[in-house]
Amino acid sequence: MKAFPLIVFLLVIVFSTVAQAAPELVVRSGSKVLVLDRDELETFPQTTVTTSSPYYDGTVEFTGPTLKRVLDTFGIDDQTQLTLRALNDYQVKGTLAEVLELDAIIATRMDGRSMSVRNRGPFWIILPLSERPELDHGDYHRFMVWQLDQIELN
Amino acid sequence: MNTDSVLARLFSRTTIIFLFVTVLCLVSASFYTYLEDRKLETISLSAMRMGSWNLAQLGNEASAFDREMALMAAGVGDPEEFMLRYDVLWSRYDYLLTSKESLPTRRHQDNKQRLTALFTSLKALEPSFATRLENPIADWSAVATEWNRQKAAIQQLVIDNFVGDETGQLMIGVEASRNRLANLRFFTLAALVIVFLYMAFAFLFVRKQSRTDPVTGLPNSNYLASIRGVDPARMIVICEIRQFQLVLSEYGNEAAIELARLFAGKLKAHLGTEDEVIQLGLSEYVLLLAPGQHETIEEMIEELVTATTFDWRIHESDVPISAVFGVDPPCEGNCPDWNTRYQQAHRGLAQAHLKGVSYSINNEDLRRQIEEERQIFTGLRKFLKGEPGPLRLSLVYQPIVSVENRHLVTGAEVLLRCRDDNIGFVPPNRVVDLCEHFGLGVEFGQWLFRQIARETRQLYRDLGYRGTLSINLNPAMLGDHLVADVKNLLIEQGIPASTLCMEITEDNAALEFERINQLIDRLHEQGVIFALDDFGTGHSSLEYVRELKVDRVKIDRCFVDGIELDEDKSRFLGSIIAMADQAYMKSVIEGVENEPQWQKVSELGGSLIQGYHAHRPMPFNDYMALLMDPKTGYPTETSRQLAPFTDY
Repeated sequence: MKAFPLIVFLLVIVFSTVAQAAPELVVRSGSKVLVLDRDELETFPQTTVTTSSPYYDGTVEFTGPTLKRVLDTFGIDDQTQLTLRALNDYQVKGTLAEVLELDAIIATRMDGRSMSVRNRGPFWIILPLSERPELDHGDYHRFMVWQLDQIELN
Repeated sequence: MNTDSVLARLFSRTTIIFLFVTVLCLVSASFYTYLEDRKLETISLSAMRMGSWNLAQLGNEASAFDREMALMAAGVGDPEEFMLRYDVLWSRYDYLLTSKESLPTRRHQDNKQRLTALFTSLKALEPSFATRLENPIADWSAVATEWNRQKAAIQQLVIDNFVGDETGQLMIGVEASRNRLANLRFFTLAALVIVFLYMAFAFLFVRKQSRTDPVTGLPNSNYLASIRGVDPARMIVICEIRQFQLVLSEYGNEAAIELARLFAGKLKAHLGTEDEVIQLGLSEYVLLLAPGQHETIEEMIEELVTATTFDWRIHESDVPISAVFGVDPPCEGNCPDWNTRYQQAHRGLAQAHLKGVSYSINNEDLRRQIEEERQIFTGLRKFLKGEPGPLRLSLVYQPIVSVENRHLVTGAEVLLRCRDDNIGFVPPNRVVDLCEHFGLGVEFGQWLFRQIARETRQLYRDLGYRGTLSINLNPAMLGDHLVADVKNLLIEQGIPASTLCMEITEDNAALEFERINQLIDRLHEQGVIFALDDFGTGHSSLEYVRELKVDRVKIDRCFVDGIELDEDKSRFLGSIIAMADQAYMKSVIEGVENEPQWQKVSELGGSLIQGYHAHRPMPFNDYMALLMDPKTGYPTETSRQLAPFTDY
């Protein structure tokens, strides 16, 4: 069965391609890992944030679970630091307390539509800038990570 | 070059246009700088950093994509990862071209164009990727070449926009703005200097212009007002063209201006370079004269008078022109201030006008005289109001006697005496002139009448005395109120009308024969008689004698002087008396001072005599005592002609 490894290889590639095609968010703390795809994130209670931002004109409606709810689900023990990483290798660090204070959501949809990488998707940390104007500042804008890929706690 | 022409150029059209253009350029430059800098304002330093960082990210993402491209070209690439890097790069372009945050980056220089061009060419690559990704052994070299060009352009864009410590294209804009501001500051400063100089010259010009008379070009009263002091060695002369108003009324304003110009020219021509001429009006000038080398002040002024006396030819006729000068001489030692000296020069001018002379030099005498007149006038006003003061008026009586019998007193002329505690005796004509001049004439006349009645009433009431009372009328008394005044203040106070003789002088009557004669008629009805005083001294005396309905002629003392020595004079006096006689007028001869004169006059006969030889003026008590003297005869109620006691 010489063909078997090739078939397995092809299957792996196909499945992995399929797996890669469905975007995922990885939450990690040490060896503990939680991988969530868009569907799973959308099973969380959804929060809608309608806000303007420096990244587009006008106001846009974002939908997704709150960052806090996702982290609670992951389970926080004694971690204090949080790192957000994007597909483009952008990363930002902050204290957990500081970031949770921001009422951030992990947006999965923009105006009701899922976001492609070209549209800063698949996930985007959105702060309610219109509701809390004090957050509309460069110090907080840096947490609004688009093309979000990983959240790391330590 | 003439200062005037330089100053006049200040206001030439060229200068004004030049200044206008300068200011306009400056305003335009400021506006341009403002617009340029307004663009810069939108770029804050943090926005610049952000822009720089975003472009650096673009560079990183391009590098990441480049690696995938190289792997693909080598045939070992992962299509998923390749497309992911492509999408990330794509989203970076989208972000740079659409987001609000990257607006400053887009706006800077030609970033937007460059980014748009790059994004377009990146998107153009996408179809070639798609076809090659489906075919794992495709040739990537053509695409790689295309991509490499884009990669180089991205690197250049990143370098151009890099903001480091000191370098960076974004900083160039700020630098340019700084240079623009520096240039603008320089031009503003230069323009300010120009405008300031212009204003300074303009100010000087206007100042000079405002201090110069437009007609003669002489300094004017504005200049005079700026004078604080004058060298004590200089004399101040005020000069006024005589009867300038007549010239103006006769020949009009233009002729008057022409005359002023001519006159000013003559003044200037006569004066030295150190002398100053200031024009007050068309006819009035102030001269500040440096002291003469050898001449006296009088000589200098007389020369001025000669230089400014000329015949002015206008409309085929010659008008004699001359001026009056008032002088404040150079002062020595304690010199008064300018205002006082200026006033003193005017005092000289006023005095020259009053005296009718061509010049008058202010000195201590003139000042004292004017001060004295002021004192007398003040004293008179107080006295006439009945207030206590240093000045007192009193009356004396000079008996008039018959030429046939010097002891027969036919009456007396009431004469005025004036004494001021500070000044001493003041001549009566000066008192009368002052009263007339300052409007006290009527008041004075009424006081005179009251005083006469108060003093003499007893004589007429109780003693039955009927001698005449000759009263000098001052000009102000010769009005319609005279009739009432005589009636109320004299007749009703107990002085019989038939004893009153009103003396008028030729000067008083002043050719108003008709009016004066009406007055005379109305008083004649009361029984009052009139005398023409000082006959023979004024002009056209004979006309007065003929026209005025007077009853007596008082022949002036000048016709008596020397009659005892010169037969011709004696005969002349005789003919005056005869003429009066012919006109049914009684003669009263004044100024008979010695026995030979008395003899001569008595030979001529038929007259009354008033003079020192018979009696000097005396106070009322002495006059009364004289009448009471048994030797003296006088007219009484029963007989106007006979004395009760006659010794001849």
